[in-house]
Amino acid sequence: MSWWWLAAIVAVPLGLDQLIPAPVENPLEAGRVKLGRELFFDKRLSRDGTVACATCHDPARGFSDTAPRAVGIGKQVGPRRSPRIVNRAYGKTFFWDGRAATLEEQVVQPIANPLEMGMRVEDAAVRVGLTREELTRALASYVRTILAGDSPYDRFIAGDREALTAEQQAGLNLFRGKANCVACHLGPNLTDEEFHATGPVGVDLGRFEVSRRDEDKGAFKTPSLRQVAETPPYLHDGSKGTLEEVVEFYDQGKGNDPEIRPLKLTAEEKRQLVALMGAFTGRVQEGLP
Amino acid sequence: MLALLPLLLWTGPEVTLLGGPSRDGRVISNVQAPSRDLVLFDFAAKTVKAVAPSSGGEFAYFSIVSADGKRVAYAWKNADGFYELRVDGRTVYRNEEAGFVQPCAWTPDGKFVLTLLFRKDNTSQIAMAPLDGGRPRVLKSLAWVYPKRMDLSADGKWIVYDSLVGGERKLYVLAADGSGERVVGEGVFPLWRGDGKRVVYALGEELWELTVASGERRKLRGGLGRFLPMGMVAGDVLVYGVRAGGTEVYYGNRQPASLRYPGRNSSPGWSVDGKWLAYVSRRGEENFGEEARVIVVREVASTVEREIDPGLALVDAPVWSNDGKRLLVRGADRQGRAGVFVVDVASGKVTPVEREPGSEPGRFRAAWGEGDSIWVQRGAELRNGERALQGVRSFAVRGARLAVLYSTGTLEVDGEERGKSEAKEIVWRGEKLVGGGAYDYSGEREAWTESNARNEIWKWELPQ
Ligand code: HEC
Ligand code: HEC
Repeated sequence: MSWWWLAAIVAVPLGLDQLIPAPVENPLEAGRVKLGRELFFDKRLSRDGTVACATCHDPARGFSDTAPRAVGIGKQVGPRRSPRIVNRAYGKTFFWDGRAATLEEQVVQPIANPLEMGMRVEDAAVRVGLTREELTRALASYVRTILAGDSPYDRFIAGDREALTAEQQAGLNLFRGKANCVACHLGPNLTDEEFHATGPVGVDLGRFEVSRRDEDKGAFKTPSLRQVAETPPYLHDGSKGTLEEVVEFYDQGKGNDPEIRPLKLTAEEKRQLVALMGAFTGRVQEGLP
Repeated sequence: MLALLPLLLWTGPEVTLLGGPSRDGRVISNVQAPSRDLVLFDFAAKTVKAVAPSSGGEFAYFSIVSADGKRVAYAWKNADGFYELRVDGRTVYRNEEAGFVQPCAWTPDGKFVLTLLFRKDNTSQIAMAPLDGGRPRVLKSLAWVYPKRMDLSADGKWIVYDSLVGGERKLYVLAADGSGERVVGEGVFPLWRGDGKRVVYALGEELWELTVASGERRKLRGGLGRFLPMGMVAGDVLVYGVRAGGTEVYYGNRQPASLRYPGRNSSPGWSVDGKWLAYVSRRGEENFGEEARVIVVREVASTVEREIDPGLALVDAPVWSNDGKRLLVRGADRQGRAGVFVVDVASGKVTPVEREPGSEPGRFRAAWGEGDSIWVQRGAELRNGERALQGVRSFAVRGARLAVLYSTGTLEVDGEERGKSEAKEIVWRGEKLVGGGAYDYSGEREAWTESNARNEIWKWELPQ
């Protein structure tokens, strides 16, 4: 009934919580984070030695990549897009459908996934001279230190009225008002960490695969919008090439979620929303000092 | 040893429970009602000392007194319409994006104030605000339901707060440097005891104690009524507030509208045919937040009542639709967007009509016009579809008939000037306009809210 979240004291970027949740079994600790960082870039964790976590979660691209759907070993294409994995320490569930409850549970799954790294986790651990437990804890710890903040948006929220341009401020008013984005993209991380059907239900049933509840058909986890402008393409299937297309998608309002409806945005308003999303790009930091 | 009985320290129309005691227990801060002047009340001398008088729409709200009893930190509603953090008349934090602040505790060195910040997107944040004017350090962000209370241990190392998780109020202990956090129990309004090891908190009308390290808990006292712990003073004496009396909805020959939840009801609205009454009723723990309000719908003939929980962060002023199937309410959703919503009476489903982020629900009034059309007053603007009127103080609609009272005092009915009025609001009573109350279409059935609410401040020396 009672649990501790523990963290080393990290200088978090502006806009994020000082408390970085980490389970008591795996507190943030410099040695483990350093090891996790090495593993994150280590291709030996994939069967044919061609793919590392960083192949799909590239630090230069907001810890995502450019492929609409993830490309793993043997150039196999998976069903979903590689998400930006910034500020996941504050996440509540993991994957687009939330099927992993903790980062410890999540980080080993790409290794075992035949379309991604294609290896038994135990075998991968042996390759890098660790136990499964050590491998898991180190990767999860490193992922917890990948933080994005200190964007113009954060400076504006912190009270610097000049941090956003007039166009971006108009975009923020829309984001919170007429365009209704704040119904799901809110808080320091611009996500409610919940599942919503924002568009027409396609082949991927998303959250439904986990919950088996009808209303979850085609529902996906709201992604954080941090660093979004620098990481096209968008959505769980990478089907939208630009932020303009994403705004167009919301303007049509064809999802089943009660907060989704046609927005009737003008061309200028659409531009303002896109401009605002540019202000969600800030500083990305990883590892411990 | 005999436990001492609680002692009533102060009561009267001026007591608001928005302040807290000094460590030595000699004074307590209070925002005086109705003047909204922030004062220090001296329990022994029974005198009142001004700290921050309200002036021209600016006034103080939540406040805390420093350990030495010399300084007061408080929320101040400024001329720009949002709350800033002040200490002894000086602004220490001012940010429209965090437009509501609630100071909760001083650090032992007197350099920081543990403060709740409420952002425009309805995220509440636990922060340490430095008094030198620097940026507050946000320790933790929470979703729309905010802590009712936080407190800092005497050594300044541990914060205790309550937060709603999956429908239950949990108690958390958070390291003041942000290095860790732990769930320790369930309850509301936690305060540290002097030893820094035990926390006292409220569970309904009972006061409980929790030893944090062992998780051991015991009931200290029951039957305290609608109470809220306000502060701990030297010698482990708890100072707490009690909301005595209440507000009640009446109709007909002064018949109370609710027997099940007396003293917690307000804002009645009659259905057009006079068969139904809707009103707002408070549920759950005593608090300042409003998230525990529900709408009660009563069939007047049978007195059968049904509760609708619209799942809004705040709900007020229900108005029946002409077909009696929906209620128009003002309020705020869980993203903190204030405005006007339609609640379906049968299903409880909520549809927003108009929402404005970071606004105050009190700015809105709404009424059904002809058929399904809706009139919305937002500040001084009154709208119905494309039609907009400016400079409006109040309005009343009845089918196709529209009465508008302008800020200038001019009263207009169906587009024709009908002289001047001093009234704050206008409502139709049958064919006549009157200055308040709620009526059905015939104008014969009235409903109103009466209040005999009274706040009391008590102290009780806690048992060892
Ligand atoms: C082949 C590309 C690929 C590789 C390699 C890969 N990932 Fe991923 N990652 C993805 C995709 C795709 C998803 C989303 C999958 C889904 O939702 O079903 C994902 C999801 C995640 C998430 C969850 C993010 C969230 O917000 O829910 C984390 C964390 C993560 N990956 C970390 C890692 C780590 C650590 C590794 C290395 C062990 C790794 N990934 C390797 C493609 C990849
Ligand atoms: C009902 C909740 C909801 C609302 C309202 C909402 N979003 Fe989203 N947003 C989501 C979800 C869920 C996804 C992921 C959907 C998917 O991948 O299919 C998403 C994805 C996005 C993405 C793509 C991010 C990525 O990494 O691929 C952008 C950009 C975005 N939203 C912007 C907005 C904007 C701008 C608005 C307002 C016009 C908005 N959202 C309104 C829930 C919402």
